[in-house]
Amino acid sequence: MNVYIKSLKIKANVDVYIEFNINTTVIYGYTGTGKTLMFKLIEFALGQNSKVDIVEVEKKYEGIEYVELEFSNGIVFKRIISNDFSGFVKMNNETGFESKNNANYRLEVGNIFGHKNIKVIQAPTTIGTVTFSVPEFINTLFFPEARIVDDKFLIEVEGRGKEIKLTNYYKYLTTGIEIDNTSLNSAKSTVKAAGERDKVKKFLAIFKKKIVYPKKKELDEIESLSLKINEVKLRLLSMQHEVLSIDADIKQNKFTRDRLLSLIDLYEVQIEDMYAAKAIDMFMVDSEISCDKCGNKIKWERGCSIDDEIYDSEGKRKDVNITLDNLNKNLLNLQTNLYNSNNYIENNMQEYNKYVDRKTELDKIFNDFLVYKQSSEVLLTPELENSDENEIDLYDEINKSFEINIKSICKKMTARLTRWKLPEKTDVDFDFDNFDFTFDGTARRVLAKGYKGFCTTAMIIELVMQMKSIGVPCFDFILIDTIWQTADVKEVDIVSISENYLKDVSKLPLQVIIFENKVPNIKIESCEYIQLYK
Amino acid sequence: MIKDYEVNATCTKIAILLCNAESYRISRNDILYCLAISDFVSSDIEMNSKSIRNINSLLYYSNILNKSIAKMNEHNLLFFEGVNIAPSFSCRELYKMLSKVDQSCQLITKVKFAYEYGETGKFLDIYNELYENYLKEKILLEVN
Repeated sequence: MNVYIKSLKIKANVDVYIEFNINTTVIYGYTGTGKTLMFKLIEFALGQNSKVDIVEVEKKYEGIEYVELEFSNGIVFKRIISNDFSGFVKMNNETGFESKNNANYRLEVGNIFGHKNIKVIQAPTTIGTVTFSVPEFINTLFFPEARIVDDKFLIEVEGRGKEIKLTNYYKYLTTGIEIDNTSLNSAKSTVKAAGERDKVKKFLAIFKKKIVYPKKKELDEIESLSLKINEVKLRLLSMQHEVLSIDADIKQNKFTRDRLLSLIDLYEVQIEDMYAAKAIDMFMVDSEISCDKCGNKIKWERGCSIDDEIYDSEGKRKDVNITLDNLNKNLLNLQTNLYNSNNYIENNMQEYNKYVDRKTELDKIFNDFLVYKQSSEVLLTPELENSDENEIDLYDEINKSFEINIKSICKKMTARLTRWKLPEKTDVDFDFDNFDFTFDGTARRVLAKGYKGFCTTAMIIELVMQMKSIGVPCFDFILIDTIWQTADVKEVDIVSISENYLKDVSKLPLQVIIFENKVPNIKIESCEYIQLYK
Repeated sequence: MIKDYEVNATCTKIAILLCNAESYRISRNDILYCLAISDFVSSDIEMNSKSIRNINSLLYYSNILNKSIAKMNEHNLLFFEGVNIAPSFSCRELYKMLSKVDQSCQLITKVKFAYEYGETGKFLDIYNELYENYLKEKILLEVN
């Protein structure tokens, strides 16, 4: 059962208490609302080595005393904000005890997730062991701000990845094969094939449990699905073309309608004026005035044939009205057409999505099976099967299985990034020389800011999923800080990418806590949204 | 080309304006604005911005106003007091008579309304802006 973070409490003059969702929690707020600080405090409560900047924390949370994290299994971790280490662990039976030092405290945190000290031999030629304990584990799985350029945490591990000890550690994460003290001596020379065969078989057995065997029916379905997807795609394209042309027609018609309306306005003003003129004519019809000086008589001039003009103007207005009526009918037809076309597109789109979803599902089954088949072929060599005393280089075996696993991780990452519809950097590979993932041929550590965020998130997710699938202990939650606001892709793209990303991440069997400046427009039911204010 | 009925219609509008403003003395410019603004205002108190004539109504009315005032002056419908214009007795008679005919064209409400708005100056700014734009366009047309 997953152990997830239930709540966070920051004890200060004004207490902050946040309850997290079991699936995905999106915490958002503008710059300066303390997202990153909250992120750091969670890390701090989990026993992060680096000290928090007390002055900075005091600024945001006045009178801050401690940070408290409660897990879903009832265990509470409390760490006092001070320069000296002071932390408390409270078990669910209410009996608490104080941790002596930071390492002890971290060990307790790690225990929740089944962590232990991991021993990895330093190099095949030198005798000696390096023990990795929980802190390194935390480092590898935490993903602090993607926007931070200096390589820390996981990137740090990779940066030191060329050193053999960490390479092995990395291999342990992806294969689950631990090189411990007992295998140290034999690894140097030989190992008993029988024991090794057991190990490999054990590993394959775990793998086999997770595998679904694809049937002939499913293979046929994949083929027919690809055909159907292409067909629907073509239909959609032609329909979208039609919608565009209808749109243009409607625009043209609306423009003409506006012109006609203003013409009618003009006629109406004229007709009004004519009635007014008729009125003054009626009033002044017999008026006559004589000049004081010359005695000449002035008569009111009657506006000639005003009735004819009214009749004429009204006729014109009527004509325009008829034209307008026809135009409106036409417009209505066009709008109905548009509505129908849009409906059609929507229906087809649903069909399309259904096919694509089903195909991805089937593809995954098929891919997993292929990886399993390849790994069993590589690991269960005839020599290993047949002999009891054969010399086997343990490193070769680990390397082989690492290679297979890392390639399958690459495939999964590619699928995930494609699902997020990242415009580029979706072709993932592993560079064994530099010991780093590459995206479209670019090493992850030199990617542009925005891509780095998305790519690293995909990497962390796949690594965690891999570790869970082979039974390597790891955390059941992921923290992600502000990745799409810093992304370097187009404004339109970023909205749809972040929507796809959120949709995808919310389906993970992990607890995900996302810190963001802004939430995308879609609201996902299984997600919880919390807004921070200044 | 100004039509005969247009001058007569403007005379009616001026008569209504003057009679509504009985206690005031109205200047020629006031009348000009109110006439122009009456084109902006439709009976349902909305800006009637679609009308083509709106754009050049100030020019239209300043041409027509000269003719109309001259004609009304000739027939003793109004008289001048310095720079202001005041309605005569017969103008008031005209107004009474108009209120009987008005049922067909609702002229009185419209002009009355326009006058009130014209006085608050609410539409003057809008009008001035439109007029400026119109002049610019016209100059551009002539230059091209």
